[in-house]
Amino acid sequence: MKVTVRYHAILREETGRAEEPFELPAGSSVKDVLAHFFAAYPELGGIEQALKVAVNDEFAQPGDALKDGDTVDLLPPFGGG
Amino acid sequence: MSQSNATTRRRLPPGATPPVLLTREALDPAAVARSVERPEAGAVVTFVGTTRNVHEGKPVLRLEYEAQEKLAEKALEKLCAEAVKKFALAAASIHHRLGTLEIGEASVAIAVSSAHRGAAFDGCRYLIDTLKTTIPIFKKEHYAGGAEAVWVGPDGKPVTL
Repeated sequence: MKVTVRYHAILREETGRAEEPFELPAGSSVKDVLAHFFAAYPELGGIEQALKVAVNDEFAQPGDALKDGDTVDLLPPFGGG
Repeated sequence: MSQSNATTRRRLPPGATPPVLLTREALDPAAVARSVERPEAGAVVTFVGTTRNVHEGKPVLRLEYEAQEKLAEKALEKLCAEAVKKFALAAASIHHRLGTLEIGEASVAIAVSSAHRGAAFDGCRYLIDTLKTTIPIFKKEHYAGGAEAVWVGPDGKPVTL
């Protein structure tokens, strides 16, 4: 299945792109997206513990299942206010 | 990146102040405060966050904010509803600026109303403190003197990779 992974703020700058399609096995979950991402960008590994994730504009947890066509946001630490 | 914002997404009467707004235009804290006035509320408390010219000793030139806008709007609406319930507020409103801000410009305007001042102060404080850690808004600081611009987290510390 294919999901669209969106990069925000420092992640957009470091990867040089706002989004990227990931091809994943059926039954993949949020943590598989994270594993795929950090395998592709090992130099960004230091941010892993601080990342939050959203799926289809809702906050998501690592164990949440994904389906074909989902949009996954990788959210670096927040700085609002 | 989504460019939608609350003014275009919701059908409000012209000139109305939405309870939650992400905008690239200058904030209007007075309008935010007026929008939470209620006949049963004896207290209105507002908080306005402005762009400071120094961060940990480094002179700041300007700030840049961006957000996962759909999620941030939904999360702000949820946060306002939660604070209204938790502090028995009459109403709560949060407007947050996006884009490039010069020194002295307002980045966030929060207003709450309540029957009495204690709950209004507490509710307003809760909203700004919770916003910083739970809403997907991102901040980049640009410094004077050629120092590299830095994305900063909720603790004000640089985001590290």
